[in-house]
Amino acid sequence: MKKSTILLAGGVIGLLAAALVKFGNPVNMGICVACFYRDIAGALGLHRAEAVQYIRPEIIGFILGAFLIAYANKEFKATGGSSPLIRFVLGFFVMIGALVFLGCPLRMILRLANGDLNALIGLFGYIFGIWVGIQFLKNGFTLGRSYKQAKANGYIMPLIALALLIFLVIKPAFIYFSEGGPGSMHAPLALSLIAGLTVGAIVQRTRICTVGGFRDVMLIGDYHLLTGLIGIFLFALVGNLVLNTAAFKIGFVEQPIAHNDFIWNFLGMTLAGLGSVLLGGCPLRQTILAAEGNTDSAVTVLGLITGAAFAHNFGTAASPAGVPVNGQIAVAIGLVVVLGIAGLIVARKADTKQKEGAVLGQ
Amino acid sequence: MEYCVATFHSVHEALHFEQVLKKAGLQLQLIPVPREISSSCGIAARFAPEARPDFEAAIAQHGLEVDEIHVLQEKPRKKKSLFSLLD
Repeated sequence: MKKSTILLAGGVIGLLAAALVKFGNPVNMGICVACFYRDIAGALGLHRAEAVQYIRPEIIGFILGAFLIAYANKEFKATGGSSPLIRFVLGFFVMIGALVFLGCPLRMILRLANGDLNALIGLFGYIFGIWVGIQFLKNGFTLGRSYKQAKANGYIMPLIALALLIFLVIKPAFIYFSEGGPGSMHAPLALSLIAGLTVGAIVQRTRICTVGGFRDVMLIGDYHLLTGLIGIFLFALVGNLVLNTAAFKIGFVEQPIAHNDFIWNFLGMTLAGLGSVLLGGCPLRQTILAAEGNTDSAVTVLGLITGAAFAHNFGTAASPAGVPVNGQIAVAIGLVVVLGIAGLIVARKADTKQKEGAVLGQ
Repeated sequence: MEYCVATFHSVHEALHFEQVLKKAGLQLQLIPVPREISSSCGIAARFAPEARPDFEAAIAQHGLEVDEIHVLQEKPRKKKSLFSLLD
């Protein structure tokens, strides 16, 4: 794939994000995978934070768009069995970190494209987290291989997306919809769904991934995926300047749905970056892989949703007012747990190798 | 031009493969998994088809875990630029 193709593919994502803000999504939240799973968790009543409850059609679109295009190209394959429970835990803490920063890595890029310099601190933290994760990869970290599974496993995620779409359309009494706050702000359903389908298809085809972009540069000096991320940034910037002129503001203070606590912006994204690189993909990419039949990624998505529910039930999620103490403790626990898991796997790998060496007489 | 691509079950196995085989004096390059092979976003190793027997011997000797070895065709680069369109 040519450099210009991936740049433009990222560009379409960036422009769609700007357009979604223009048509009703919260500012700097045209697309935010973490926030949108959080809103879905709220809509399902898994948490009761009244301001953030909505079944975001973009997520449904990501899943169905990626599923349909993968299916059409015979790339839909049910696989799984690569440490699902560890993936659940990593997904859980990626969400805890993201909700302390207030956004997934994709929203971090979109925030940056609207002048929010706090996202730059988040970006430094994210890259640092990826760098730490790479050290584990180099020293033997692996979640083990996945295996082919019965097709039925792969259909579950697209069917969940379909069920969410039905809930969104018929609005049963047990689904919560915010009446105020970010959850009440959204683009029209059809537009959000079409944008989501487009992004899902693009990411499935191009494999754009916020963690892959930085990982490939640091690990093998390949700039392909990073070019896609630059495309998202540049086109979202242009899109915001044209469509959302009034909301564009360069600086650290009073940025929409953000806080300017440097330390926790940095550490929240360190946790998200570390968790994502160990998982082999950011929340967006996990969603796409889950749609292609990867049940390990589907379990990761369930971890993300559960993390979002806990973040609001336990009061760990940040708000424009700042990061609550519970959030600071949760990020610290998350870093300890994720580093602990990675350390245990690396230590065991080294141990096995030593034993194999002894058997071979080396 | 043909080239070989070895794919792996995990990123670590790709890194380990590079480390061991470079030490053994074999020429290879780590690349993102080519899109035509897979929609996954892992890391693969690229090497010359002539060296394939050496690689296979070394893989067996060192007990390296490889998923598959593919033979791919390099697409000729189209020399089309904005300027050539103007010609």
